[in-house]
Amino acid sequence: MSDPNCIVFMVDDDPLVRDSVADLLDSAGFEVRTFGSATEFVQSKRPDLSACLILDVELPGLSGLDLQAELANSGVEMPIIFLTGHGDIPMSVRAMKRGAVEFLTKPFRKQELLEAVQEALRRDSEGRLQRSETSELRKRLRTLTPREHQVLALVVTGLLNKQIAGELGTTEETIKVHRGRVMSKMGAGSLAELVRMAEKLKVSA
Amino acid sequence: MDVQPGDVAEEIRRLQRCINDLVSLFALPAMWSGGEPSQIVDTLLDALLRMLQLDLVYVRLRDSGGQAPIEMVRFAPSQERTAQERTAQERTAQERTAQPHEIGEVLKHWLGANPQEWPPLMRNPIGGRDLSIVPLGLGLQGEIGEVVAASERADFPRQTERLILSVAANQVSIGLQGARLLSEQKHVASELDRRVAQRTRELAKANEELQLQVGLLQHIPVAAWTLGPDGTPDFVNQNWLEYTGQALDYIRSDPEAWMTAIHPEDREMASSSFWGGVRSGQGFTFEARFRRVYDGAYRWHLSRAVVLRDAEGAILRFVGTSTDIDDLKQSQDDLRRADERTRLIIETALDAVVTMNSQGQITSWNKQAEITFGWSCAEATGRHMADMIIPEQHRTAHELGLRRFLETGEGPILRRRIEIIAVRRGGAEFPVELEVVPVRLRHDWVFSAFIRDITESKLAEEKLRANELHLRRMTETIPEMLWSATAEGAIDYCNTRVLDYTGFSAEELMGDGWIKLLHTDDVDQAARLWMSCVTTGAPYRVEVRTFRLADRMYRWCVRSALPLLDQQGRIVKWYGTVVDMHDWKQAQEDLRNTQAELAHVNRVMTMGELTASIAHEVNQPLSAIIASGDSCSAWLSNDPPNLDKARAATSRIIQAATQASEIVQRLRALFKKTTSMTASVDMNAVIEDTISLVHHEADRNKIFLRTELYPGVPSVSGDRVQLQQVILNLAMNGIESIAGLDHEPKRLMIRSTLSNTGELLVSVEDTGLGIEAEHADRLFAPFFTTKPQGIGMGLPICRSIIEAHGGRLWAVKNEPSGAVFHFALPVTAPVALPAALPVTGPSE
Repeated sequence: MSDPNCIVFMVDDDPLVRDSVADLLDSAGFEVRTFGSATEFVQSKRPDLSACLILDVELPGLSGLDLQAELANSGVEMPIIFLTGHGDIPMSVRAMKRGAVEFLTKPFRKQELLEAVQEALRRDSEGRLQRSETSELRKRLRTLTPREHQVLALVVTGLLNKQIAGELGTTEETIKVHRGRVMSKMGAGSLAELVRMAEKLKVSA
Repeated sequence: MDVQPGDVAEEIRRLQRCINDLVSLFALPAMWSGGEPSQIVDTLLDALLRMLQLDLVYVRLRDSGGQAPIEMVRFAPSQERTAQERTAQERTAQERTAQPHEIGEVLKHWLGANPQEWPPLMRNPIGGRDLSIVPLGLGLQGEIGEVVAASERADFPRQTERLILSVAANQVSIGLQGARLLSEQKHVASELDRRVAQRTRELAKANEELQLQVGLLQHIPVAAWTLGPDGTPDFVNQNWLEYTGQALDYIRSDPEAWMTAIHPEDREMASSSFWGGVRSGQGFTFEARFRRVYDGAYRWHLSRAVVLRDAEGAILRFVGTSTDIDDLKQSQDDLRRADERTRLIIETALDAVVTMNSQGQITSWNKQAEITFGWSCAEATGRHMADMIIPEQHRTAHELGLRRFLETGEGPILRRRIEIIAVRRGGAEFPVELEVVPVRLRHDWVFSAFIRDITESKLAEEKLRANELHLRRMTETIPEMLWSATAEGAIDYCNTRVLDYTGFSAEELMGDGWIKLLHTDDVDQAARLWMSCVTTGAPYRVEVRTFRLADRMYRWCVRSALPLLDQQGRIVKWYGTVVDMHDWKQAQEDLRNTQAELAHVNRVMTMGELTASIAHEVNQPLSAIIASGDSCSAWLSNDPPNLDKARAATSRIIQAATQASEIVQRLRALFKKTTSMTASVDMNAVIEDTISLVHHEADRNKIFLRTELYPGVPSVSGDRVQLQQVILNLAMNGIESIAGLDHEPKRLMIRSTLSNTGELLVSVEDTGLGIEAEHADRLFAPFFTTKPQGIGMGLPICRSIIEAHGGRLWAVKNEPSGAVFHFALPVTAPVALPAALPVTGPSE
C-alpha cells in the first residue's frame, strides 16, 4: 500500500544497490529518496512526513550504526532498517538494541524488505502521533509555574493534598488551588489522565 | 974469360949505354914530382923494359892505407903480340883476369920472401920459355913493394944490368916515397878541407834549423823554449810569455828565474829534474803545476827538453816544450778513479771474477774468488785456472776446449750461463753457475769468467722441489676437485678427484680441454668469463653444468679460481676448484617451491581473514541483482507494464552480475597457486584493487582509509599477484592493529611515491598499536606473531617477495602512535622526480 504521506529514505554508498532498492520500493508504491552517505542524509532538508530510513551498515566515514546513534542523540526518532553485506551477529544485536526496526543481510528478499518498511513507517506514524501529543503536553507543561510544577510532580505520586501541603510547607487550600490550575492547564480530565500525561512527559519529583 | 977487341968495344958501348941509362934514371925523379905512384911505376916499367930489353917486368906495390896492392906488368912487344895471340885463343876458354894479376899469381909463391931466396929462373907464363928473373925490393926494407925483371937471355942479368936495376929500384923507391908523402899530404889537406867544409855545412845547417825551429817555436801553440848548454834559457816563445806573464829579460837573467812560475810544492822536484837533465845532457821530462797568469790558476804541465848536439857530440842546445796537461791529468785522474771504481766493483762483486790468458793462466782474481775458492789472489795469480778451480776429472776437457777456441773461435761453453761443478781449496766440489766471456786484446785472447756459487740456490731448488712434491701430495689427497692454470689461462694441472669425477684423462683436460666437461649451453659463458678474468685478474666464479662419469649426467658445479700474484702484482698462476653444488641447487629449488607454497598458504589465509569482506564484496552486487529482479517483475506486472523501469532494472542486474564476476576473478587469482609471472606492474592499480578488498573491513572497524597515490609512478617489473599479496598483508595488519583501539585517530594510509634514489616507494601507515620495542627485531622473523590465530608467516613472506623483486621492506614507528611499513622496488625505467606530490581524497 502506498501512502503519499510517507517517504522512505535510503542511504547506501553502492549506487547499484541504492538504485535497485529504490526501484524495488518504487515498484511497490513507496516514495523513496536516496543518499550516498550518512553525511549527505544528515545535511539534507527532510519533509515533515512519516518516514523511515533504510541504512547500509558499511558506509564510508560515518557508518550506519554511527548514524543511528547520532540521530538518536539529536532526537530524530526515525525508524531504521539496517542492511548489511556482512551479517555479523554482534553488529545486528547492537543495532536492534538501539531500536532498529529490522536488520537485513544482503541479499534480501523483496518481501522481507517491504514488510520491514511497512512496519517502520507504521512505527514512524505512530511515533509522530505520539510525539505531537507529547509536544502538546509539553507546551501545556511550560505554562505551569514552578509551584504548579512541584504540585504536579507530587500529585502524580498519589499523595493527598494534605501531604503535599506538608511537603511543600503550605496549606492544603493552596495546594488544592494549584492542583486545579494544573489540571486545567494540562487539560487532564482526571487524575488518571494527569498521571498518564506526567508519565509521558517524564515529570518527576 | 977471353976478352976480344970486338967484345971490348961492345963492352964500352954497353957501359956507355949503362951510364946513359943511369943518368936517365937519375933524372927520373924530377919527372915524377907530383906524380901518382902508378905513373911512376909506369915510367919505370917503360924505362926498364927499354933499357934492358926485358921480356917482362913486374911491379907490385904494397899498399899504404889499406888499399889493394898495385900490380903492374909490362911485356916486351914480341911477348905482347904472342900474348895477344894467345889470349885471343884462350879468351874463349878462360876468364881473363888482369894480366898483372896473373903474373902476380905466378910469382906469388916467391913474393914477400927475401929476394935472395928467389929462384933465378921462372917459367914464362905467356911464352912458356924460361925466364931469368931478378927480383928487387923497393924501399929500404922492401916495404914499398917489389919489382921483378925477367928476360929470356941467358946472360941476364949482367952486372951492369944489375946496377941499372938496383939504381932504378932505388930511384923508384925515392920517387914512390916522395909520391906517397905528397899524396899523404894532399890527402890530409883535402881531408882537412873536407872536414872544414862539412863542419861549416853542419854549422850552417844547424843554424838554419835553429832558425827554423825558433820560427816554429814562436808559432807552435805550446809554450816552447830553448836553453843553452848550461841550462840558461836563451829563447822563450810568445806562448810561454803570455802564459806565465814572465818577461824575456827576467827569464834570461837567471837559469832558475822561470821556475817561479812553478807551484811551490813542485819546484824542488822540477828543479832537480831540470838540472839533472841539463847536466847529464840527456834532457828532462817532468810534470809540474805552472801558474797561469790569466786567472792565477795552477795547471799541470808536462815539460820536456831534448838535447841538440853538434857533429862532435857537443851540446848545442836544449829544446823544450811545456804542455798544459791539466785536462789530461784530470781525465787521467778520472780514468784512474774509474779504473779504481771498476776494480772495486770487480773486487766487491758478488760473483767471483777471474780472468785468464790464452795460456790458461789466471791473470786476475777478485775478492769473491778468494772467498769462493779459498785461494788468495797472490796464490792464484799466474797459476793455471784449470788447476785451481776445475775438478780433476774435467781438466783435460777444459784444456781441449780452450785450445779448440783459440784455433777455431768456437767454444760451446762460452758466452752462456752454464752450471758445472767446481772445486775449492781442499778438494771439496760444489755447484756453480759459470759464464766465460772471451775478449780479444790486440793479438791475443783474454777470458773473463764470472762464477757464482749456487750451492745455496741449489739447496733452495731442492727444497722447492720437495715443497712442490708435498703440495702435489696434498692436492691429490684433499677431497675436493682442484686445478691450476698458467697465467695465460691454460689448465696445467687437475688433481685426481677431477679425473675421477669427470672420467676424463689429464691430457684431455690440459690447455683448454676443460671445455669438453661442460654442458654445451654453459660453455660460452664460462669460456668468456674465464678469458676476461685471465686478462683482468678478477676472481673467477661461474656456475656450470659439468659432466659426471658416475651417472653420465651433467650436474651443476661452481668453478672458481683466484690468481696468485708476484711482488710486482703480476699474475703468476691461477688456482681453482670445482665444487658439485647440484644437490644444493636442487634444495634451493625445493625451497623456492616450498616458499611459493607457503606464500600461497599465506594468501589463502589472508583471504580467510577477509572472508567477511569478501562476502560483503559479493553480497553487494548480489543484493542489487535480486532487488532489481524483484522490481523488474513488479514493473512488468503493472497494468500497463512499465517497460522502461523493467529495462532499467534488467541493465542493473547485468551490471551487478558483471561486478560480482570481477570480484570473483580477482579473488580467484589470489587463491590460485600461481607460479611466479613477471610482467610490468602498475602499483597504483594494485593498491586500488587491494583497497577495494579491504575498505569494507576498514569501514566495519570505523577506520579511515586513505590513499596518496603519485599519478606518474613508473611501473615495476614483477608478479602482480605477489605484490598485491604484500599490500594486502600490510593493509590487513594495519587494520587489525587499529581495530583494537577505542580512540581516535583510526587511520590507515597507503602511499605510493618515487624515492629520490629513483625507486618506487609504497608506504602503509597506521595509527594503531604500533610495534613494541621488544618485538621490533623479530618482526620479520618466521613464525613470530602476536595474533592468537596467526602463524606468523605474513611479514616474512612479504619480505621475501619484495626482496625477490629486488627491493626491500622495513618498518618504522609512526608518530604519535602506530607503525609505517615501507617497501621500495626498483623501477623498470628511470623517471624524473616531480616538484610536489599530489593529494587524492579518501578512497571510494
